[in-house]
Amino acid sequence: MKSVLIIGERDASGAVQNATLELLALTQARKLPADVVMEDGDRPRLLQTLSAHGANRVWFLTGNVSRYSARKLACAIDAICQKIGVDSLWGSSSLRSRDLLSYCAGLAGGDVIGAVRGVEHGPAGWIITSEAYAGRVVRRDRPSARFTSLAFASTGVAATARESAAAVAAESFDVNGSDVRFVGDVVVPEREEGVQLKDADVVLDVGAGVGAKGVIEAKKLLSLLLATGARASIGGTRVVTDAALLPRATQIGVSGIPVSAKLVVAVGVSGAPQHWVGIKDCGSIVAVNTDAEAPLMRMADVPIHGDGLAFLKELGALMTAGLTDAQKAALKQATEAKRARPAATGTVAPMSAEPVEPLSDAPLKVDVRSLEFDAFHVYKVDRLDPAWNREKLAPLLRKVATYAESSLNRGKRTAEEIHCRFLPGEENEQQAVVTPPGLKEAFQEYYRSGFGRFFVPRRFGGLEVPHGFLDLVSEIVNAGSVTMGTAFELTQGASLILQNFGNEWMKDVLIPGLYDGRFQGTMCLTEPQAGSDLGAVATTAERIDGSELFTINGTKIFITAGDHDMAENFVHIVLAKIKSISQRGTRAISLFVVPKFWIDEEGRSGEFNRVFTQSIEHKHGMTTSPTTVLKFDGARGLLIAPDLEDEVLQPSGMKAMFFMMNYMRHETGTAARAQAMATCLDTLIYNTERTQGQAVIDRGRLKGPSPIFHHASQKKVLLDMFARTLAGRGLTLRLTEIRDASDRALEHELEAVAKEMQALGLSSEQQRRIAEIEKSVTAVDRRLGKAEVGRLTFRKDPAALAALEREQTILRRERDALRAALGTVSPAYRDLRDRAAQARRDKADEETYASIYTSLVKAQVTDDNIRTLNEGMNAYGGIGFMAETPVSQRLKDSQVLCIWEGTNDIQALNTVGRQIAPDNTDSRGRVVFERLIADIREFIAEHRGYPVFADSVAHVAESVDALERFRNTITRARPADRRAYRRRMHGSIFARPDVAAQAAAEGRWAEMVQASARNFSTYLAQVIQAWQLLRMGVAADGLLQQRTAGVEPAAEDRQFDDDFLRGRVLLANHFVASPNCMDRGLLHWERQFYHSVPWPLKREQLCDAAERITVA
Amino acid sequence: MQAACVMRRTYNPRDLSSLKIADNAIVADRVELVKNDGDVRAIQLVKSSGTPFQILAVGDLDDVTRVHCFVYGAQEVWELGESRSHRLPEPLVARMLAAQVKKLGDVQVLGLGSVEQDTGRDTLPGLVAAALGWELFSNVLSLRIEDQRAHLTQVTDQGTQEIDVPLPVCVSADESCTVGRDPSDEYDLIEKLEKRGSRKTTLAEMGVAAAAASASELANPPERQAQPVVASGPDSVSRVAEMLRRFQA
Repeated sequence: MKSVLIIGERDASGAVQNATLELLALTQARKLPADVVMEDGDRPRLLQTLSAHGANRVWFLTGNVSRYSARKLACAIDAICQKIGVDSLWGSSSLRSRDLLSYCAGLAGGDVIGAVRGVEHGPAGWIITSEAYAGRVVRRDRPSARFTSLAFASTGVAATARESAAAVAAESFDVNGSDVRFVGDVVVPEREEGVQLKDADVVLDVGAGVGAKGVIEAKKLLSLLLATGARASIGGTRVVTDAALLPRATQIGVSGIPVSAKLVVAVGVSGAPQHWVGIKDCGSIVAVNTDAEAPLMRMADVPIHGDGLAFLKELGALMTAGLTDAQKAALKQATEAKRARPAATGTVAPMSAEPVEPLSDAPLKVDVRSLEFDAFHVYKVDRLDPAWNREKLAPLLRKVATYAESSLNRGKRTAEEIHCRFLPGEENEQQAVVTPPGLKEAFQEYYRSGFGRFFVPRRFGGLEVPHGFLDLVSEIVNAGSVTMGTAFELTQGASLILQNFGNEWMKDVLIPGLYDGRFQGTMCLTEPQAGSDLGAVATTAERIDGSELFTINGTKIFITAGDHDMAENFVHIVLAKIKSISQRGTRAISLFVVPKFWIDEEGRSGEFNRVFTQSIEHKHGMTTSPTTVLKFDGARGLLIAPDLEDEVLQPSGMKAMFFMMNYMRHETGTAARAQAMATCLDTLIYNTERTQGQAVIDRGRLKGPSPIFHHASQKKVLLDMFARTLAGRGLTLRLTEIRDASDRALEHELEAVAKEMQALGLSSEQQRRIAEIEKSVTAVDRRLGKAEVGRLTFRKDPAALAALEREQTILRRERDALRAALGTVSPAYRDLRDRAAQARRDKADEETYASIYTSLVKAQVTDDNIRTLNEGMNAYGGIGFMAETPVSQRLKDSQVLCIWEGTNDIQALNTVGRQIAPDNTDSRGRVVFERLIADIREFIAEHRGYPVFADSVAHVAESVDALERFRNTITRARPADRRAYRRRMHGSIFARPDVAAQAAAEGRWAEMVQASARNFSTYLAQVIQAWQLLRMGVAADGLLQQRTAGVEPAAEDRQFDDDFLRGRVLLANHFVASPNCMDRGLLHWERQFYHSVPWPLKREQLCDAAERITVA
Repeated sequence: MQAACVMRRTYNPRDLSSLKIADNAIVADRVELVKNDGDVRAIQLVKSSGTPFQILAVGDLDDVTRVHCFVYGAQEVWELGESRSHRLPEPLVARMLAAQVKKLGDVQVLGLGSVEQDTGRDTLPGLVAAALGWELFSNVLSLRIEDQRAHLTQVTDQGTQEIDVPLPVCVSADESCTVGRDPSDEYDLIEKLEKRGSRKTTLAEMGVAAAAASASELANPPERQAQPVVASGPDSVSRVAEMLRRFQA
């Protein structure tokens, strides 16, 4: 290195930047002659400064330099380098410098080193010291190329001006003449008051630990410091700038600005490597943190353990007390000037009627490891579909986690303060709901990222990921935002209905709009007079003459995501009664698709379809979710049914709606589990950080207070919370496991049949005949299906029922004849067709089996969630009740999960009234409940005596016996149970009660069953949950045993360390042992069932004046 | 006319805290390779301009990234050389990319990330633009191509500016660029694409001479000496107030 050319830079005032002067100082210290090249300006002033700092010569670039073409500027600098023969070009790490240094190195065919921190001369030549890997690695290089560009992060040498210096020579170099055109002005980003961060002597560095209030206090302190004349500035961590508490330009760290202040006061900053690298070159670092073990506390010069907000307040008070009169006047003047200034844009939420100060968001951390363990080791979601192996699924899971942790979690608290806003008035009739800031971006990112396609089958253009994986995605998304999770799931539910029952237009046009996020799906069931009793629906549909369209009139309430500004259009799935229908109740209901804006064949949204948003509901929780009252005022709708004419005669809307309803029940359980899991993780972190009192285990070994986590009572609470939540995951994943396996089995069998059919080599005549017969078969099947539905309709009309049965017999004979006809055309074809039909029946059987889980997932997981959140809030103490602690909001949001899609009491009635009944069988005659019990017993038989789970398995076996007895009793499943019923209700098994007495006994029995339904479904769910947690435990113990045997884990399994695996074993045993997880009442069900039913009950027994408990 | 985008694989920055130097080599406990975030931003940026593009990967790709490259919309994926970029000097990487761009013929736009997110190296855009002799615009937020000209928004030290420039041009995406973030809106193509392979080319085929092995000496940064933690209270507040007062004018 013989001589150096420095790329000089000017600050906003036009003076030479300190960074340039430090580079000159370094050349002086290393005795290297240095020229400076810089933009022309106030030459006398610039030359005076540069000569005082030892510049050899200055090259002024004239022309359009501030708004430059890097190529043009670099070519000019390269020409200067060649002219004066320099072999090293130096510059700072500014964006412009970096471009020019690298471009020039490229032109010269030389080398370039970034993040340079020092240049020394050793025996073997020059040595360049630089940093890489966010400051974790220091490199020392000897430049070998003839030309080297160095981008300095810092020089380590202070700039000092010489008092007398010779005049420096100046040369000009013109850089005009570029094809690059600059449009408009440079838009200067918003910044805080004070000097530029990189030029500041004092930097107040604010982290997420102090929250929004801390940022405000830090800004006050900055004003104080500026009033004293200090060169101070404020910056923050990425979390703080991402939450818009400080401008993006003030972010310190590897993806922000490195600072080199003489003093940094870091408050609430943990000191992650990416942030640390931005402050590590500063003189003194003061760190204030509640966590004495935070990384920054180990690296700071003055680490202070304490509350950052309180510290800032005290410091501010002390500094204020020390102000002189002149400084006080300066502070007052600055404060008044700030008040007079218009509010900065971007940090004030534009949505709110009154400005809301942005609030800090508690960070969200998704435990991806735990999800991966369950996905790939217990439920093996990667083993069924070759298209979705672990290598593909695991990164997707992590990507969704990143999306939830950042995009969904960002600005959540502020949004919750702002709520959705309803804009009444004619001018807003087409779009009346505005969501809080940030939701729209997160909504669009979800669909832009392709997550909306996970759910959709491949034949409709989707990705068709396994159901089990999809459930975990849903858990992550709902942990980020239950509002957004619900909106996405409603769209998926609408898509599900259209996939199964929609016509070609709905499948080709609406489904792509739904999975692309252009359309929001909704579910329009409830009306003011029709809640749980949907038979009372009053919305009507009237067919438009000569058309397949219907006119829909009616009002729907509680419509989640019924209107908002995130999607372009809405696909409302609406329950309504066709006016001409004679049936009553739910049998009269049909299902319609009603877009808010009419949609053409190409999927474009057009004219307004008269779906008016009358208001939004004012709710206790989920205030960012737009829940609307919709008025269908002559809106046009299309019937969702495979055959329009059939549907008009015999509606089947409820059957179709239950597809969506059951899907939403499952998703509601998952949304609840997401809240519980996020709370478990938050509570665990808080409990390990917060110290209170001294725990028993710390007596004699710790002087101060213990982390709450050390207290046995809290450990128990955390174990209950985690065990219950993982049990919820297990219950749900068992449901998806059945669905995934049956989907794949069907797909596999149908593919095999299709292949064999292709290989049959049927003649064209045979194909024509088969097509004819198949058409007839389809028609007969449809009529048979309708007849089956009709059996329910006419079950109280013996004559009509007999006629229907005769019709069914004829139809079955017709179907058999058609099958025989197929056999005459091609026996092989007929056999293959029978195989495909059997595969479809098998799939239907598995769905029947899976349906017993659906209500349990909805009710049990949402109930458990409330219990877990309550415990979580208690574990926090008083701070748990404060809005800034996420559990408080989650608790408010979660309560509706127990209510919608059928309250949890209705779910229990479904379980007891339908699912566990002896006549709930599949096509093979297997009773669904018995199949479930057999599955659990199979597991018990395999694991009885399993060393670490012996007691738990034995308890589950005992519980299964009790559960089966309970079920047999209430359903009178066996002759012995029927006899016991007669004895109990009529005094003797041989009693002959009259009709009235028999009806009274039946009524009382039905009441007893209803009254204990919730308990029964809880017990049933808990037994399944225990079984699933033990499955997880066995998988964990299996890995532990492999490790003990010296088997090296696969690279992707190394994350499951011994502690994690032992934790899973512990949680499985804890669930079974803890009465807070697995209710011991099951072992005493008889007492509860026979004696605790509150019957008869009069309201006067509970309250002397009923009005007091009346709610408007 | 088409574009080319760079794809580098780097260490996951989240893993950096465990990174150390031992025997002049970088070691870490648990290190995962991920797509260089800036390059993905650049791909989405170029994709948003509607220009068909090819992806030039430095070194070999794993199966998932290869599939993702096609999913992003790349017409072809090239794997250049055998070493990943963070093992190579940036001037060599620049020469490789420039050679391949020239070889492809009708490439008019080259997009890449501003920074290699693990090493923090940020000079590749300038080097490769110089090697090609093209205009360079780094830290770009948006890109539109019309009539053989690029219209772009660029972040500079002073703020953001709108630029209109004739092609060819090399652009690097700014960290805050959020145009069409990954993975993609075309995930359904995964099935069709997973059997599609990339095209590999060696340094010799590109006509690039391999660089001599780097002779860098590596060391751990000096550790700051941990200081005794003091409790927050009047004394510590006074101490910090005193430190701050030293900077009064």
